[in-house]
Amino acid sequence: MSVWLFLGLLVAFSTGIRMQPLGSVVQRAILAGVLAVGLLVFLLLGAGFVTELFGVLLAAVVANLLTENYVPQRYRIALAIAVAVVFFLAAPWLLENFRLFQFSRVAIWVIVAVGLNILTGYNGQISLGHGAFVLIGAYTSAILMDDQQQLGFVDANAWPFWTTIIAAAVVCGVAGFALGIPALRLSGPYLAIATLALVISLPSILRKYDGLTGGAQGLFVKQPPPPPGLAGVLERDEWLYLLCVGVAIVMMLIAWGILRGPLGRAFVAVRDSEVAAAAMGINVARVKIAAFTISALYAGVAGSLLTQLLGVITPESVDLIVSINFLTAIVIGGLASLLGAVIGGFVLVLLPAEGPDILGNIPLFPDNFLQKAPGAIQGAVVIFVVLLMPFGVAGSYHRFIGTPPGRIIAALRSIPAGLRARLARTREDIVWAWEDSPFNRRSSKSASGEEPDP
Amino acid sequence: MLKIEGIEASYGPVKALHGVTIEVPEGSVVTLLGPNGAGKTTILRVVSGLLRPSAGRVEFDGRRIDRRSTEAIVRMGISHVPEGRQLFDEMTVHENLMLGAYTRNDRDGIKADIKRLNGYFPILEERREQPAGSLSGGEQQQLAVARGLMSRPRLLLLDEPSLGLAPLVSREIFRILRQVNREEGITIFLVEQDATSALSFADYGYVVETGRVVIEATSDKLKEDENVRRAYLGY
Repeated sequence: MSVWLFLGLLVAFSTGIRMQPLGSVVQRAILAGVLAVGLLVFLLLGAGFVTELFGVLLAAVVANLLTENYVPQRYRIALAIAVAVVFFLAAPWLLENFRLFQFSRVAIWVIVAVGLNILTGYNGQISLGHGAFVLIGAYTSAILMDDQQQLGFVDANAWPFWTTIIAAAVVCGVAGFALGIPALRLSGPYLAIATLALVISLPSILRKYDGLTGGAQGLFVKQPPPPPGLAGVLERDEWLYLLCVGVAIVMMLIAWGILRGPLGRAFVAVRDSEVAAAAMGINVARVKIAAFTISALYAGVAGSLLTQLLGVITPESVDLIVSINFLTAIVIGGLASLLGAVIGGFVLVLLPAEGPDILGNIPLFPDNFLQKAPGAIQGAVVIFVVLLMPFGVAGSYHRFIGTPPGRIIAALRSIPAGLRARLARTREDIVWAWEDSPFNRRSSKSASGEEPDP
Repeated sequence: MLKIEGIEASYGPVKALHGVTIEVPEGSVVTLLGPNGAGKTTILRVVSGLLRPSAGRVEFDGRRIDRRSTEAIVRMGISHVPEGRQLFDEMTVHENLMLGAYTRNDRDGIKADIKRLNGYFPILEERREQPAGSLSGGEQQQLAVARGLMSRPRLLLLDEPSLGLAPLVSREIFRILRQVNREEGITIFLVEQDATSALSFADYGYVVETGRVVIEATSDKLKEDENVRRAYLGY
């Protein structure tokens, strides 16, 4: 806990969050107070991992509200980057091993989410089948790293782990390219179903060709040990953690570069209007295939890292649910936003792992419900987010920091009235629906003997 | 500069053009008039490569373009400002302009062009970082034209630039377009419902009805033509 508070204060003081400079000191103080109370409630829910994480983020916002006028922004950004780097490098010594493992998985899912967000968020092509690309990447790595000569036609010499990351990227890029071509003819729900077919069929194909893939048992690989120079300093899990996070950061930077350039603009243009994009001289087909290729490549890199991290890969390692959850993650995190992809990665790992603990800390919350229906939490979160944050957590965050404090306070104060109005409307709707319904025997319609057309 | 010869085109089973022949000389302003559904927009779509004609040919600078992709046609120097502006609403004004320059790689040239266009469209500089969707109708139309000019076209296809604009605002748009035509030497091929503005702007006009050219003449002659006056000018 103390580590987290310390870090929280550091991050709080340093993040590059730019609040709207409008708003008086009093307004800022009120807003900070509201958030601080929220923070307190959160911490009272228990000293769980996620509550601390949220606490840190809230503390960052509060501190920014109070200090922004006094510390120049470039110092904040520089300090924020420094803190982030120090934190990620120091994490192996700050965190327990299972947290490290969790963070490694977060890093891997962030890579998938970034790739999927390029395809779905920025380019508007829905894929439910990214799990298939993750599996292809994972198996590519596993097959190439295999040194037990169980595979007939692949070179028995194990490839170095890092070359298999590149190989997985290439193989998945090619697979994405190949799928991108037929995908040109599909859109919306049709494309979603077609990609779903991919992730449904792949595991059975993997089981069928067991000479290459090890069948249902999957393949075991030797996890890469720390490089010679670091062997004394790092344990294997710590090295794997740094590897995953490092690759994730590199992939984020690449995505950032692509998205702010001409290709990134073309992705969005094609999503918003194919005709207008074509009129700009954009080759719509090529851009859509490019999005599929890049997106699959990201999933491939993630799959490769998954193999290294787990040391074993089976056809069930990435199942249908996980594949669909990738889409859920970027919707919760925020479509067409890199921050959204990062949040999505955290949600994928931490929500199922920590959600029950948090809710369990709420007094009177039925414990046995949580044990018997853990998936319900995720469902509730999804519904909550799509109803209240249509642009995901990242979208709400951007709106929050882009709105002057005075307006936020006004909005908060109008919540009760808004809720009452909505409730009244809903009640009216229900009454009307009942009066028109065929179950209502006293309805004016049926009383007048009107029959619907056959 | 642009020669359209006997093009026919259909949307599925519905034939929209039955052999249309039009010529647009270099440096001129040519307008297409006609009622809704006459095929005016279809003609522009065929020229810019968004729609393949089923017969006939389109030539630009003596080269056939009716089998080329839109991308290639934009690179050759034809820019299409589509009906209803079709801006990328969530993107900023600046990003929209950058998309207009998608086919170009000369960074300095793009920068210089944005600066030059700001001379014609000063409002766009003011709104540079605003989302295109937040602009007023007239500003959006200015942005659409400016975006069309970013690919450095020699021929600009304009589909109803006055659509949904107040008369004063559309007059301003036409004023800017005339300036662009004269100062930049850009040829303009215009589709317009507001025949009065179009004919006072254009040198030559074609009247299209149900997929055929029914009258063609200089603007001055069209203004005097009995049928055109009654059907399109309303006096």
